[in-house]
Amino acid sequence: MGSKVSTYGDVYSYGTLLLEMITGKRPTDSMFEDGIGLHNYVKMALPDRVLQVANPTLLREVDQGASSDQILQCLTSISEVGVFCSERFPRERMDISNVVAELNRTKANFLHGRHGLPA
Amino acid sequence: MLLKSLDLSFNDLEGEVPLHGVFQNASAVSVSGNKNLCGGILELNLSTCTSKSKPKSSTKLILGVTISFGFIRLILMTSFLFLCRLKETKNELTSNLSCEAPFRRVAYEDLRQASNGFSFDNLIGSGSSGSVYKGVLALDGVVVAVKVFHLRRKGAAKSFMTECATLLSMRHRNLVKVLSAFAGVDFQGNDFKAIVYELMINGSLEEWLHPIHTSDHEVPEPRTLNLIKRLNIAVDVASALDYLHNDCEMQIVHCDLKPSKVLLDGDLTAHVGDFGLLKFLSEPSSQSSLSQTSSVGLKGTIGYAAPGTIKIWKDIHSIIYNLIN
Repeated sequence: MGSKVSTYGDVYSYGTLLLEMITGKRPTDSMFEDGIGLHNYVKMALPDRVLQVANPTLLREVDQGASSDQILQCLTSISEVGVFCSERFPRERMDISNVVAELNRTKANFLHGRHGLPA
Repeated sequence: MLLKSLDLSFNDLEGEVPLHGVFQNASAVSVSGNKNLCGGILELNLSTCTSKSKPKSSTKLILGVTISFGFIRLILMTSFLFLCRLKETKNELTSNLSCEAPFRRVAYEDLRQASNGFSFDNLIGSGSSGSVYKGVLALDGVVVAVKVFHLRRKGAAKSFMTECATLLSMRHRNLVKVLSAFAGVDFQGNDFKAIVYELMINGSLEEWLHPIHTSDHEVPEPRTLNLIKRLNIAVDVASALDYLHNDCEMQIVHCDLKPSKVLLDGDLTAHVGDFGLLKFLSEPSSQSSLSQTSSVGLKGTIGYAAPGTIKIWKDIHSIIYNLIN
């Protein structure tokens, strides 16, 4: 008996990494010890309460020319991708090619709305 | 103590379900979502098990094939390094082995000198398979990270071979660039294996997300990543995975992606590194068929490894078995 190795496993790890980048919290953080988990923590905040779970550092972007609406939109898109990638059942997870496309779209939308500031 | 109910659903388990103990009562046991389970009482509606001797022989076969492939890979690797070192060798021999890549010749002495005798001051990281030292190659002044494998630890030599195999098959802007590899002996005659990487001066994503605050040092400038920088890193890492999963000649699974394995260069471009646990998948077809059984006991890191990929099942099985009996 061995462990299953598949590309789905990498996508799960990637989703977890994405959620960690948004929240600043590790999946092993003590606040998730009651079983809720990083995935559900963010999933429950979608779509309207993302700002409450996001790392406060990220909200400072307002000073750099982005509107709070754009930040919210961007954070929501990234969080959604993170949640879809870290679903419990492998087949419910996103394909990594779609992740690249979706995040590039999110980036283009965000930069477009940032009053022409460079990346 | 009596076990009253047992929920084993969706664990991707395999093997024969016992007939006694809690398994006598179908309403107390849930085994749905484990398509490879067999046997058990009729109410569980599982398929009947095939004979037990078969898996053993297939395990032997798989082991044999794995060892042969490992040996072939060892020979390939050795000849690759040998060919790379002989610059005079005719081009026709080397063209198939991607020797046009700027792999450098390094000797043990070069690495020792670069890392200041593998000094503690040059140590920038340590993991289960090896320690990483920063240094400057005296030959050309290139700043490098040298990973020295802990050969006394189980699996370290295999990690070296796995990482070396990546030399042959991968190149992408979001993967850590390998400059050279060394397999030989140190001055005492002990086995010594090391891989030389381009140094990522901004360290790992882990250090940026969770900076360690030291009270005895003056505080360096705060390392924070704004939203767009994080988004860029997210795209970089996804692009690297997309390359490994979909664009390589042989499909590759990293198996241990986490912030400490995402390294940032001077422009904060992310490079995925540390391929000690990667797996080559043999069937380059649709995702549905992309799974194979590995003989590695523990794969990945708790928190980042998908449910069901870290093998603790065997222990749980023995605990349950003891409880029942």
